[in-house]
Amino acid sequence: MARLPRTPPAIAGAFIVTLLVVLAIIGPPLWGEQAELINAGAILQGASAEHPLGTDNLGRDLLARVLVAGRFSLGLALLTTLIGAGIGIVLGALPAILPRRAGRVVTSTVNALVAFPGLLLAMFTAVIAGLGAKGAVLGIGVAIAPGFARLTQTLAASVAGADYVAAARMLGVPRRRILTTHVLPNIAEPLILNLTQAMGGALLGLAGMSFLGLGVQPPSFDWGRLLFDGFSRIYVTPEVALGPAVAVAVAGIGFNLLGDALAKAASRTTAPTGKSAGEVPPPAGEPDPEAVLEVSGLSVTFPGGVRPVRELSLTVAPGEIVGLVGESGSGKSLTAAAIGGLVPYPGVVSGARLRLAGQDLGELSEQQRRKLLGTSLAMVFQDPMASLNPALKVGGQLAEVAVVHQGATRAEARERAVDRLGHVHLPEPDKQARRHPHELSGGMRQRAVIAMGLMGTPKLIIADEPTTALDVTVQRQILRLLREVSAETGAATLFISHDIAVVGELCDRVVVMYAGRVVEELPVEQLATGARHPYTRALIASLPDMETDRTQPLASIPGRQPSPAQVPEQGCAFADRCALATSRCAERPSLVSYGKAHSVACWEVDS
Amino acid sequence: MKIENLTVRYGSFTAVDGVSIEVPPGGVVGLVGESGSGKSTLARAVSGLVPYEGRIEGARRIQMVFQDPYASLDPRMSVGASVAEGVRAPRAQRQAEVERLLGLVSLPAEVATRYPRELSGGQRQRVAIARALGAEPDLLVADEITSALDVSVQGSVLNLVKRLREELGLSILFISHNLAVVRYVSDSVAVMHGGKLVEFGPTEQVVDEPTHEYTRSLLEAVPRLVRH
Repeated sequence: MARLPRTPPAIAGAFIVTLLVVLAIIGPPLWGEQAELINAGAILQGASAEHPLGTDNLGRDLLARVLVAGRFSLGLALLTTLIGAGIGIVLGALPAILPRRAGRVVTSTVNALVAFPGLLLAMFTAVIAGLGAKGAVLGIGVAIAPGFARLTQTLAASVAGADYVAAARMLGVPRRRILTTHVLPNIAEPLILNLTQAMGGALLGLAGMSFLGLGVQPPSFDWGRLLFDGFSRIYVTPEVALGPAVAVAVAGIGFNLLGDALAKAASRTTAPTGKSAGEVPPPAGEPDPEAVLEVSGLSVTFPGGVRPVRELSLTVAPGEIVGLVGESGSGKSLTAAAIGGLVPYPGVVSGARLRLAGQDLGELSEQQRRKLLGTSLAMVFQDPMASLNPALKVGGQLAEVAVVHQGATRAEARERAVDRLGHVHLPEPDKQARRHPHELSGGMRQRAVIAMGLMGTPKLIIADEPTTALDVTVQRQILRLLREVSAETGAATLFISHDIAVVGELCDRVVVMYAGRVVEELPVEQLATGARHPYTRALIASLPDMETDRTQPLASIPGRQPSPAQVPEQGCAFADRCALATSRCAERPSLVSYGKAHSVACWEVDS
Repeated sequence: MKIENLTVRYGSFTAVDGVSIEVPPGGVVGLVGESGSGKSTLARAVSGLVPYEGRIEGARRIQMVFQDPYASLDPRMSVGASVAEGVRAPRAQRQAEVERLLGLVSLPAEVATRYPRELSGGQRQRVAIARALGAEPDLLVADEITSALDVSVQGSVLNLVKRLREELGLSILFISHNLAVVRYVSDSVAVMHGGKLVEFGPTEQVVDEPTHEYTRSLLEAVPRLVRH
């Protein structure tokens, strides 16, 4: 389980619950005697130095009674929660093993019970089971069971759809075993988290029952009972009701805060805290006035010193299509995100000089930077739905760009949007503009996103795996469109892909990344046969194409790319997978020019 | 193994429409098509995961390997326990059998005690293949098993598929959207489009002399690295 976040509510919750547990343990032995001590001389007193919360009708000290009642109240709440969770989890899991029809009956019963008011269910059960602690515990337990049943059902349904359950079914594993070995262990965590919150609810519920006189009966007492006894005196001596009321409220809040914090901690893995890499000064050197995009010394750092992108430099000339290739985890997408100012929290871009369309992004004000990025940069992602709002019509979303960044009127913007949609070869652009994104096919959506980029006058188009989710025939059309757009508008394109064949087909120049660094940069004509870096060569050799000899095994690279946290600080990151590695590779080779527009970071090449 | 006139309907929608394919013993049949062509539904029907009409003959035990190796292994189960799920051997011999299966997919025996999160995508896919082999299938259905993997790993998994077929005489229905990959591993290729089988023949014939219009457009769209 992930660690608890250090937020005030989480700390408060943990503190209160710890305190309650300590109280439950030490309460009765410390104050038990005092709580039962009848003193005829001090009946129905208000607060005094001797009795800070006053005394009851037998002269017993109320503070001691509140402190002692902690164990009983918490014990009952725990029992109630376990009963509720037990019934609920069994009900929720039953449909997974029962025959289909019986399963449906159970599911609909749970649905009906969820809709039924909990308090009514509790009172109904309590009355049948008889007055007293037993009735209250059963009542509240039954009342919280439907919630647990529903949660179990929902969680189990999501696990039941997993491929590993399908695999187990194919292997002939019986349903009961699938439930116990695959489903329950994988839903245990959220269920246990929910227990904490249910515990808070049960505590409040039990207090409520006792307060209504349906719960704990004398001579036993819990907080609810004490509240019930003190309530009749609230106008005369309010402090006698205050003690148990505060105890119930604080305990309820404590469990809910802790449950909340636990659930939050489980739903996200908190970033490791630790030293962050020192600031790297922007590299010196004259900027290239011709380049549309000039990146030098770009690093992206995450807390803990993890650097997925390391001192990366890149230039893209007007009209040029540059392909950035690498395997997953090579840092290629984060590079694109850093250029667009979209690095996700808590990542930090450092040491970079970023020049877009001749302007240094570091020197601009926030507003100027937004305007520049909004009008000169177009971004296309793998999932077009990431760029389109599913609730808005396509035309309106495109028009938004012109309204916000170019100050166009609604009508002008709309006209331009339809024009742009036609430009990316969407049939009947006027009609498409009035549709919602989900009404378009994947390829059409990707066209709409490209059209959105063309609403301004983009100097640079960054396309991050724009065709990975598309079919090959649609991929071909989108690649053709990107070429056309680049030729027509003179915009430079940075095309990011894991597929070296696609990059080879589309791009003018190829930049190969490995473990956060550029290892080779070369013109596309040399990609197939002129690549020099052993990684690039292996990547090309391992790719089957329509001419590959089927009788020969495919080349493959042993081992795996180090994750960003494991990349060696010194030495070549590829060395331990490389057939050519020598002792020299313990020192990291820098990118060295090797002929026209071709540079390689490898010791074995320059010899 | 013969699939005859297999049809899968979801309500009024026909996902697979009267498809017949024969997989000869020890043969690899490649199945290509785009998303929505019905190829994955066919895989699930053949594996008994969705109800179908039609007949499947000559293969009693069918196992499937899934596309996403990150979703097909139970994260709370050790690799050894996952692989052992399909093994029928008595308890005493089970560990030796798991080791043998891991050996078949070129994984060291130590991997058995590890959990999926500690393995790379390629290693996980090998574990999934080992688990399927444990049930001694007559037919292995491989549904896009390399498309979630990095290129540098893809090659070794494809080599493994070829090796298993040679060593074990395993019949394989190999499904992929990538024609180059299908061409590399298969003896014959079936092309699906809109739920129907539009072309089926020996690999060379389908790739070099496609008869159907759709196969031709698919072949044209394959990105090629021009080797000067």
